[in-house]
Amino acid sequence: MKPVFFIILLLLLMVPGCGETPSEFRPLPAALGDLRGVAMGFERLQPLDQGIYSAWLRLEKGDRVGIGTFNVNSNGQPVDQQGSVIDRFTASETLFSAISILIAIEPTGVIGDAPSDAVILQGPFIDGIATLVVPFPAGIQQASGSYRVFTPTDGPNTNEGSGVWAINANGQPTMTLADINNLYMFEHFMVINGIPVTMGRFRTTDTRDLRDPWSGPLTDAAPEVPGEDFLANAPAGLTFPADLSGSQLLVTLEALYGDLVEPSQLVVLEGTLPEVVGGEIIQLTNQTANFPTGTAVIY
Amino acid sequence: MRAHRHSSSAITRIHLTAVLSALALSFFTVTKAEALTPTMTGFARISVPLIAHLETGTSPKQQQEGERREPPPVNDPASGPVLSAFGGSVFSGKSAFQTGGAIAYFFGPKASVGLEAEASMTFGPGGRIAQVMGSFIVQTGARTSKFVPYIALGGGFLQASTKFPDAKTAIFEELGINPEPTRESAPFIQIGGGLRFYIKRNLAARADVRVARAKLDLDGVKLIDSLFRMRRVVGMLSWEF
Repeated sequence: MKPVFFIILLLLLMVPGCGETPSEFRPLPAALGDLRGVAMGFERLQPLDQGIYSAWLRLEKGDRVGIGTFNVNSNGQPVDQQGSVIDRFTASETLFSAISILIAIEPTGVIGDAPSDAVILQGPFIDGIATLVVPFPAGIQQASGSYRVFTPTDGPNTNEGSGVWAINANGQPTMTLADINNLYMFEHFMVINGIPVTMGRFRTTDTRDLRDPWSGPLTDAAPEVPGEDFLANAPAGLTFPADLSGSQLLVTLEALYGDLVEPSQLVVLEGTLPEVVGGEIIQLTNQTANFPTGTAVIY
Repeated sequence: MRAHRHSSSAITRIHLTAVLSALALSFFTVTKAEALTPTMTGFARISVPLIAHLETGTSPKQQQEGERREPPPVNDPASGPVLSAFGGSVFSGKSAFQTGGAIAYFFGPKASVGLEAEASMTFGPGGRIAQVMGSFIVQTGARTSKFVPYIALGGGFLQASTKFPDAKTAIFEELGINPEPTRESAPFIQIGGGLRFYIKRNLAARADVRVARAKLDLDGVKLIDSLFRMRRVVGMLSWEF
């Protein structure tokens, strides 16, 4: 055997760059447990007009590996920027022992070294399969509540059909929501003529929410519950005092940080206002059964 | 990722050092063993048989003929055919169990070189790999020590098949994904080395390490990018007959 051939062979075997596991699925690496791909599918996960989804895996030793960004199509399939379905996300290291996966919304559309705080789905891997659910606060599936139509911030008997507050006629808070976790806050919206208008974020149902951008001058008269009067500072496309008849009232979970899309797709409670003149009680229904879900499989 | 690269680089340096050390040790020991064999030249070459004649009373010719008729017994335990059985691990991705058998034949008065054929089955977490391979082996020569280091170089052919659990298959169907192919064949080259330890004259325990590159059939990919790295460490029991 010629020495040159021997040296070439030796180098071929020793150079680490020569011998990387291919990104596409192959039976030989798969048989040895060198699995570097993930397939995903979703239900009710909405396509993003702003931002992009990112997927991250937590490995056995605690390392976190990003496997790419995607949007979803109407069939719940992950797609790239051109709209092509992504069958397999790949990583540069073996994922055989990955312990969990999370899907986050990257509001700026740019992926960093870590996922954004806007986590929307996550799940543990069991035998290489993960069922993805929203990491919602415990007890959210039993959330309930109602809003009373009236406008306390402009005095009595004035524009009474232009505001809603989570309080009953006896002045008691009417919403029963779960204790919030460190990922989300509650936010309530009024969708007026198809335009979502925020009423502010809140953590508990027996204190005011954090904003009152549209209320009247008598803010001290507002009850100590989340709510809003739509009387002033109307956003573009709307006229205040607003007629809320037929509007949709939403209570959602919004990511604590990095949340640019409002309202989020995590609608907890929903109700539609009838013809209102003031004094009506709007009963909300729990929508958490419609939260998005997903499945991820390592292969 | 950078740490991973550094780690790979360090492992490569360790591999390289280990193989070169084994190579150097092999050549050193062979040279040393040959140096210890009594060879004489010049006057000494003539005087030794003469002294033997004076001591025994037989002529050098008679003595030489006697040696021809009764050759010294071969006590080199490494020469001739060797049958081995082995078990160990393949380290690529997760650890996989490998077991098999090998037959070798060593040549020469010091059994310094040999050829070995091996068949094995690897049971991985995601499937099985059947493989056959041949190796050219250079070793120090078994006569010198109970410990016999060696280096090996060769190649072979493998067939891998993977099977997903039913739960995964169901999800693939749900997602409309069909991971194909589930079976592939690939040639590979390998290099490595090891150490024999003679427990008895014809029975040796053996540790064997190999690194290999399998050529995967990938479309539109350069040769160097189509090689898959495998490493294995096995323990062997070898019988010589």
